[in-house]
Amino acid sequence: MTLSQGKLCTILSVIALLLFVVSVSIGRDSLPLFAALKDTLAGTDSVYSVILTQIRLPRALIALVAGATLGLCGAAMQGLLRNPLASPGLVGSASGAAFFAVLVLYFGSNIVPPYVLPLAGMFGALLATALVYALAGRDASVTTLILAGVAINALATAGMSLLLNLAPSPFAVRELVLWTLGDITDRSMSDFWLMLPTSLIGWAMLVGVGGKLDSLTLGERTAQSMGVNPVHLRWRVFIAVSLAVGAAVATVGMIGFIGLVVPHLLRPYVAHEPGRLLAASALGGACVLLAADIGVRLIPTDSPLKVGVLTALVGAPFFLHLIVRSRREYL
Amino acid sequence: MSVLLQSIDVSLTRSERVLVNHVSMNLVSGELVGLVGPNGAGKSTLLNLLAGLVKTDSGAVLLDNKDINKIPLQQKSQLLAWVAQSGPVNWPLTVERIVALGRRPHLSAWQRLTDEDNAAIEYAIAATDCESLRHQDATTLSGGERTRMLLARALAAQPKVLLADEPIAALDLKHQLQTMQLLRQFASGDNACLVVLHDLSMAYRFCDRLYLINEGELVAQGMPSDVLSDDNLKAVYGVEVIKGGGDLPYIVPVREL
Amino acid sequence: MSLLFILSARNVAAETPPIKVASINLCADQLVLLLADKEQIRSLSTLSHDEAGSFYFEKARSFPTNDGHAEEILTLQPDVVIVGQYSNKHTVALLKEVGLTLQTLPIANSIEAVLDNILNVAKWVGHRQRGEALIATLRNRLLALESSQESRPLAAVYDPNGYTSGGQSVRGQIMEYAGWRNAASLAGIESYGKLTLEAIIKLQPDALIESPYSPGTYSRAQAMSQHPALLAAGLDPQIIHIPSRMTVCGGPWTFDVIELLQAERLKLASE
Repeated sequence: MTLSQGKLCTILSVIALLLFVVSVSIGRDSLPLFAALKDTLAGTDSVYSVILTQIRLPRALIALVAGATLGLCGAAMQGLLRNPLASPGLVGSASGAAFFAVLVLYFGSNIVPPYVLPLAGMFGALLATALVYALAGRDASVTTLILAGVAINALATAGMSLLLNLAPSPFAVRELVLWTLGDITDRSMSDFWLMLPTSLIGWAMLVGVGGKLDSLTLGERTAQSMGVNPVHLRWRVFIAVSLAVGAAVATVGMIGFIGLVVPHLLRPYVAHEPGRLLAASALGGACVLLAADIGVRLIPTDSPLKVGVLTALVGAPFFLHLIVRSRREYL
Repeated sequence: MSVLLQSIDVSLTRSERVLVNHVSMNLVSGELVGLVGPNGAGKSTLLNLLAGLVKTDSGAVLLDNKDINKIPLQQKSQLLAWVAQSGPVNWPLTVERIVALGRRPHLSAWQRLTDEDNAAIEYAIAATDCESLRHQDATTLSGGERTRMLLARALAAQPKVLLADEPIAALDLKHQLQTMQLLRQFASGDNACLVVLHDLSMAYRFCDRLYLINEGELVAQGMPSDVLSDDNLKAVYGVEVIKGGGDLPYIVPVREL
Repeated sequence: MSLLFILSARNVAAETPPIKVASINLCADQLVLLLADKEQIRSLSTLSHDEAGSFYFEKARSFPTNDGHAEEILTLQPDVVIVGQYSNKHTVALLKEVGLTLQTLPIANSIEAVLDNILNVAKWVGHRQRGEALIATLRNRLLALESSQESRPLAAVYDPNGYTSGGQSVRGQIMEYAGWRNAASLAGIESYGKLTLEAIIKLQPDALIESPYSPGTYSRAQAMSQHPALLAAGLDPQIIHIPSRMTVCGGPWTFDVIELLQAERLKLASE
C-alpha cells in the first residue's frame, strides 16, 4: 500500500489539478471553456471570461485552499495528539470563527462591507485560541488543552444558539443557519485574497513540524529527549491550525469530516508516518473539497445543496466504516 | 577519560514529596554505570533529571561540562539518548522506521537519510537483534521486542551518553545477556552508559560502578562489590541474600527481614 | 467595469430599449411579474413557480428560473438584478463586483412599505407611472373600506410553530385595516413572536388567522383550537384560512386579504 512520498504527492497533485480544471469547467450551464480562456488571455472582458475568472476561478481556488487547510490541519492535530479521532475543530478555532461570522450576520448584515464577515471570522478563531491559552496555561498538557477547546466550542455553540433564538425574523434565522452549513458558492476573488495570507501563514507554521510529529510517535518524553520541545510544538500547531482553519471557516462556513477522514484515509499510503501524512493530507483535503463542491453542482436537488452538508453526509458513514474496519483489525 | 555527565547536588520535590534529595553523581567516558535501588527509590526520576527532561529544583546537571538546560535541544539530543522504561508507540510504523527516528537529532527538517545514517540504523538493528522484526508493525511487538526496538532507536542516534531505564526488565534470558553485552560494548572509548537495573546479578557482573539510591537519596556508590554489600542490601532492600560465583557473580534474595 | 460598457454599448442600437430584469427573490418576482413587461423578464427565482409561496405562480411558469447563483444571472446580462434583503451575501457581493446593477427589495413591515416596494420596483423596471397608478388604486381601496368599527373582535395570526405577527408587520396592519384587534399586540409582541397557549386563553381571541405554507397539511391552528385547555376554557375561535401565497410577500393581493378579513369580521358580527 505504501507509496514513496514523491509518487503519492505527484498522484494527489495530478488529481487535485484535474478536479480544479473540472471545477472551473462545470456549472449549471455549460461554459464554452476555450472561448472563455481565449477571451481571458486576450484580455477581452466577455461574459464568459468574467464567469471564468470572477465566479468559477475564485470558487475553485477557495475550495483548493480551504480543503488543503482542513486536510493539513486534521493531519497535524492527529499527529500532535497522537489520536486518529482528533479534528481541526478541537482547538475551538472553527466554532470561534463561525460564532463571530454569525455575530456579524446578525448585527451588521446590511451595514458592514462584505469583507468584514471573513475578517470577523478570523478574529473569532484567534480569540478562541487565545481563550484556550488563557484557560489552559502555557505548559498545559494535551488533555487540558482538549478540555479547554471543548469548553470554548461549547461556549461558541451556545452563543450561536442564542443568536438564532433572538433572531428578529424567520428570514434571519434561515440566513444564520444556512451560513453555518458550509458553502463555496459565489465567493469572489476578494474573498480568496482575504483568506489566502492567513491560510499561508498557518501552513508556513506547519512546515517542518513533520519530523517532530514523527518523533512524537514515541511519546512526549522520548520526543523531548530527541530534541523536540513539546510545549513549543503544541502551541505552534495550535496557532497554525487556528489561523488556517479560522480563515477557511470564515470564508466557507463549517465543513466537517474532511479534517477527520482525509488523514485517516491516506495514513496507510504513507506507512502511518505522521510527518509524511501532512503534505499528502493537504493535497487529499484539497481533492475532497474540490470533488464535493463539484458534486453539489452535479447532484440535482430542488434547493441548491450545500457542500458542508455533502461532506458530512458522505463523511459520517465513511467514518463509521473506518471504525468498524479498524475494530475488525484489532480483534 | 573525561566526565561526560554529572549531577551536582540535584533535588526535586513534587507535591510536597521529595523525589530526589541532593544527589551528586557522574558518568565518565568508557564507563557502564548502574543505578540500582528498590521500587519508588527515585531511579527513573533521577534519570529524567540527568537527561534534562525535567528541570531540577536545585543543583545542576552538566553534560559535557555545560549546563544541560542551556545546550540547544537538538545539540543535546545528539550527545545524549534516553530510553524510557516502557515507551509508547502511537502509530503502527514499521520497526525499521522507528529505529530510523533515532537519526532525527542529526537531520534538519528536510534532510533525507544519508549512507552514514543508514549505516547507523543497520548497526543498531543488528546489534539489538531486531533484524527479523524489521518490517513488523511496531505496535504489535511484545514487551521485550519493543524494548529492543527502542534501544535500537537510541543506539541509531550514536550518542556519547546513553541513559537506559530498566532495558532488560522485560527481556528473556538470552536477550538480557545480549543487551547487557551490547551496553557494555557501547560504553567504551568516548561513550558512557548509565543504566537503571533491578537485576543485581547483572549489575554486579557488567557494571564498572554502581549508584545505590533509596528514597531519593544516594546511599552508596563505587565498585559493585562494595555497593552491593550485605549491609547495604539489608538496609535498602530489607532482604537477606546469597552471593557467589566469583567471575560470574550472582545475587539471590533468600528472605525478607 | 468594461463589461457594462459593452452591455450598454449594445443597447444603444435600439431606441429606448426595455430594461432587462432578473430577480433572485420571491417577493421581487411577484412585483416584477406585476409591473414589468413580459419581454423584460429574463429570469425569476425558482420559488416563483411554487404555488404555496408565489401569488403569480401560473404567470411565472412561462419564465425561466434561477437558483440565485451569480453565474446564472451574469449569463443573462440583465440591466438590473433585484435581490432580497436576505439574499445570499456572497452572491450579492459577487454580482456587484462583476459590475451588475443591483437593487435590494427590503422586507415590507407595513402597508406603506408594501406600497413603497411597488413604487421602487416600478421605477427599477422602468414603469414608474404604472406603479403610481396602481398605488393610487390601492389607496382608494383602503379608503373604501367599511369604516364603521362598532364591533372590533379580537384575532391572532397563528402560523406553524406558533409564530404570530404584532402591529409592526404587514399582517398586523392588515388586521388593523380590516377592523380586528390583534391579540399579539395585546400580548406585547411588536413585530414577530410566538403566541403562547396561556396568552391565547387569557386573551380569548374570536378568531385565529392561519396561513400555513405547506398546503394540505394538518392545520396547526385547527389543532390549537382543539387543545383541551382551550376547550375547557370554553373557547372556540373561528379559524380563518388565508392561502400562504397571499401572505408570504406584500403586493396588491395584500389588499384582497384586508377585504377578505373585513368580510369575515362583518360575518362574525352578524352571527
